Amino acid sequence: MTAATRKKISVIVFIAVAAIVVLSCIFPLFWLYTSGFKIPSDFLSYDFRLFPSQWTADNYSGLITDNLSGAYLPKYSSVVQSVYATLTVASVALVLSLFTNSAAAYVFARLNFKGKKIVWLYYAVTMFVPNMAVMIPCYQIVSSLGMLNTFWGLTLPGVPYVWSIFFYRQFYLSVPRSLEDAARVDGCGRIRIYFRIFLPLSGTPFVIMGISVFQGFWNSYIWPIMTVDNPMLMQLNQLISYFKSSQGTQWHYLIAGSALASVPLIVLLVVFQKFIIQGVKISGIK
Amino acid sequence: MQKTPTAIRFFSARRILKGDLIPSLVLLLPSFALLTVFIAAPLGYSLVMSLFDTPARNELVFVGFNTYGHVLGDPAFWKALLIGGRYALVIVPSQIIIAFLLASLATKLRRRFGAFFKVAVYIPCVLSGVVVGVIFLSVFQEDTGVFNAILSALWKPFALAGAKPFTPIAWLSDPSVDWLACSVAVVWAGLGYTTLIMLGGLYDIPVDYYEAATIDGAGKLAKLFHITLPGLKNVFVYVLVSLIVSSVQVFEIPYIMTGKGQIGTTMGPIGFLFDKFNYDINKTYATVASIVIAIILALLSSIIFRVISSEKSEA
Repeated sequence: MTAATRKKISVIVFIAVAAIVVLSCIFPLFWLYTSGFKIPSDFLSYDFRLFPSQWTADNYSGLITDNLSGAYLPKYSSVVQSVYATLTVASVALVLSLFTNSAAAYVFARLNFKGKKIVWLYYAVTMFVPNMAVMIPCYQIVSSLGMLNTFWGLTLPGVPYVWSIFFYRQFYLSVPRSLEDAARVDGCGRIRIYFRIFLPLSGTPFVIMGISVFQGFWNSYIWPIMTVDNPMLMQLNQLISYFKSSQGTQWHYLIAGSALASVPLIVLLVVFQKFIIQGVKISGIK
Repeated sequence: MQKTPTAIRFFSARRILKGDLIPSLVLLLPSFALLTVFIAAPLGYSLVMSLFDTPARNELVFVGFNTYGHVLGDPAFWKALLIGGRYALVIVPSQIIIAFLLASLATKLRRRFGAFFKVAVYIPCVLSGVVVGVIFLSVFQEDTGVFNAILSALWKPFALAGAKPFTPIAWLSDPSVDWLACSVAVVWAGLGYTTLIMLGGLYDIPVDYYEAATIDGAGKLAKLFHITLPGLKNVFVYVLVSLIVSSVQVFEIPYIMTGKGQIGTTMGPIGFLFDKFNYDINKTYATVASIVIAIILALLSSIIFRVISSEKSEA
């Protein structure tokens, strides 16, 4: 065997392995999106079929127009209502998260006061407490505050996010002091400097963090199932999971609902790809 | 500009007088309040309550560390931790190997394809646990699922050659394989993130190293073992530890795929907590169990932090 053929073989093997890996990565997505267009009987067919036997958009329109509440979904709930509820929770939480955490980050990056180190330590310690471990005690607090089954009970517990404070702080530390000094000479107070100089500069970190915060709320499942059963507040993922039941899974709705729930996130990913990929890189370095 | 000296004196005098205490308090207040109410207070409250028992409503009995003893002596608790560990054992190495393959593939792509590849590989990472669970719930169905269909097609030549025909595997209910099916889903869901981290690491290795090695006559394998893998050391450590912590906490995907029926095979520590939370009237046990799990996970996370800070000081 000559060196050239050996090289050719190794290239072919590499391409084959790569192709198998890439295909198996893509296949589940392909499966999700094509299955959404299947007719209900396709889901119960024992014959393997790559594509729907008959393409239909009924599953998607059915999620919106069919009378599902009471039959498959809890009474008075609807997919449209849950999209609205998820969107409002995620948006309000996003705005609160950006403002409250960046304000704290600005203080830790630029301001000085006695005891700042202790306060910073207080924040930093909570960063290491795993989310899941806080959930049950947090449920008890939320319950004793009378916030179970309320909009704020869904929204507020996810707002404090120390890792994002850490992230904004690193960014604010790199803002040149001269920008601020000029404003201070003009008599700007610290709080005004935050609003006039630091907030307008925060575009990039806000997009990077904002997307991950929004994604977290849009995808939330365990916290809503613990705290909410009011049909007006049910979150999207929570509602979708009702289509899976031991009495008979409604495959066409379950799959179409999952496909629908993932579309906004994929659109966000495509639009903000540069920021998201940069965010991944930063999370690995810090 | 002539006025600058007075301005500086003015503002430093004010600084000594007032410091930044008041603006700091104003700006910190919202995050401090939220952090205290929803993270710190629950933790403090649960630490205190873990020492008490509530045999009846409005009745508190001090029991000391008794409940900790119950938790640590509960075989179900250890079983759940073991299941979490088993997930880590399968998920971490397979994710690292596949991600490394994908990342090295990506470095060979042209720029435009590379950008497309990064987005494509990251798509599963934006999906929710429920959506990923639903996808693989469908893929791993015993009679109608794709996975068994593919296996059966691959088995055909053997069956024709006289081996016994393929019997569909109950991926979601057979306790010897259900956790593997769940692991596949978890690996798939997290692969993009790990790949992008590795890709970043690969790009950080200076090209000169490879060029110098080529001049010295090093082969591909030699480059892999002497340049690429050592160059990725920090990335590997970071990925390793963060993957261990996250795969021990796997919950939503198996919960959707197998449901709570499989408490003894697919439900790790979080599933255990969730089950106790739902079905125990006495929440003290669940609280204590979550403290113990938190301590274990915090130990793991603190290792991450130490690794990262030592990495920084090297740089």
